[in-house]
Amino acid sequence: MSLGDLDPIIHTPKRLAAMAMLANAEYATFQFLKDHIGLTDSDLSKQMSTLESAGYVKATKHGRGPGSTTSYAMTRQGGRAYRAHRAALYAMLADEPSPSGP
Amino acid sequence: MESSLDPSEHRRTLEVAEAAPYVGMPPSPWWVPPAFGGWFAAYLGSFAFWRESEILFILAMVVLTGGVGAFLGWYSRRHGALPVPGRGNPPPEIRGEYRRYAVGVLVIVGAVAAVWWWAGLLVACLAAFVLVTAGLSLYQVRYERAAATVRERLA
Repeated sequence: MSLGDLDPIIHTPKRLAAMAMLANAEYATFQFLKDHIGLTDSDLSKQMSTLESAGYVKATKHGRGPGSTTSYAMTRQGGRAYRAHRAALYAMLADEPSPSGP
Repeated sequence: MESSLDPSEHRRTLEVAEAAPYVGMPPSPWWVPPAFGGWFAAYLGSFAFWRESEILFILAMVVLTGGVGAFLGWYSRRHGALPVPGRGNPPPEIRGEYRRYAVGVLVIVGAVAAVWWWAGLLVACLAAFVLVTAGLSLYQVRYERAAATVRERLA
């Protein structure tokens, strides 16, 4: 396994964190992702737009005006990409020599 | 810089984020177990209408189902994310609590069915209220403890 097996869209830490959260939830709100990844509104919007453009997540808006919320759910394509990325990462780590090894 | 991440750091980001939907929520309010106990007792009680009035039975089912839907809506708005057991990669501590929860549900359903068989519907409703309230209270305490362990491990 090599770095080339990792998905370049998911590989950045911010998008990886968003994908990992969405892989473990039916959906997550913009606020939840923002609070747990620790991003500004504009940065999170940018990251989520990239994931949406790749077809990995789907956004849904609820309500209108100041009380409106946006939530995100992972698409099937996103789920497949995430699982493949995760498997490649764990395989890479398994290949790594142990720090205390011979 | 952002993509030149060390793989073990990458895994850590992944583990923390995967755990967030399970452990990043505010604790459940105290009234949730008795409310669910009451809901389950009412659900059973609605079977009293089964032979008396089909309309009342269906109406009760619709109201109770709507109540669960409203609760889930409120809960997921409050939490901001809705983890679904059986999907994703919950932390091992939480997976253990999910397993105990599933066993607990089977035990309670079996116990309530037995009470219904031997003592009738009214007593079964009472048993359902007590067992579901006690079971959920215990689950809440255990889950919160497991979530605290996960938060500490990943801090």
